[in-house]
Amino acid sequence: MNKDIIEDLFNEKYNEYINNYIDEIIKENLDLIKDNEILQIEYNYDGSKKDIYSLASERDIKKVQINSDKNELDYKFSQNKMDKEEYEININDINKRIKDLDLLYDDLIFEIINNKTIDEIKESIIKYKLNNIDLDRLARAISSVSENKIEEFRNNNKSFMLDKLSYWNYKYDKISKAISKSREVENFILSLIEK
Amino acid sequence: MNISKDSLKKIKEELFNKNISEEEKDIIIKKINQEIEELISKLNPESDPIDE
Repeated sequence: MNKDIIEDLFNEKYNEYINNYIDEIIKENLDLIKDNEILQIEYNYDGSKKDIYSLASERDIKKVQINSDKNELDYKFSQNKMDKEEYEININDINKRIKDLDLLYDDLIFEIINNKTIDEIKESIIKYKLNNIDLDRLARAISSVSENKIEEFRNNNKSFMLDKLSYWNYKYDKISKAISKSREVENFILSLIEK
Repeated sequence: MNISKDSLKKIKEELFNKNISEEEKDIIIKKINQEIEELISKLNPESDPIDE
């Protein structure tokens, strides 16, 4: 079997093991969450993992903050308080922050959809008693996660599709199950919207 | 704070390496290799050329 496939499988499985172990490590030492800000994105302070709605809303809040930085930058540039080169460097940095943010949150939301049962996901959404606007926003967030993950899958697995069709099918089968679950979650959220 | 997949992955790897002994890591690697072997045998090897 191809070396790339073995390496790809190894990395995927090694990460799965790390993720499983890390949950236990964190539960046994909650200070790790306080000490490592990046862990606060995925975990609550009690060591539990955040649910889909928490993640989607936090992403929205962080995006508002980044867009506010962008507006400030645009204002400074319009007032000639910044030259074009500096402005472009900063804008590129902001665009990268938005892209990184989306990739991370997409991953975390998709992982929950992949690992939890549909009923667990539904319960985690129902408990918030969301209004129509928030439900619609959440449904759109999940739809966007599915689209981004399909795109990411296509980009990352082109070589397997050309050379190793059975492996590509195996990987596609895995992702398509999660995509199908995420569509079900999206439809469920839309069904909660009151007419 | 740098918010990215890579930064989260990096911190998890660091914590994993700090908290897991070499012996445990060896066991995990053996398990993974075994899982990979089983998976590969399930995939249809005849439809794919074998490189090695």
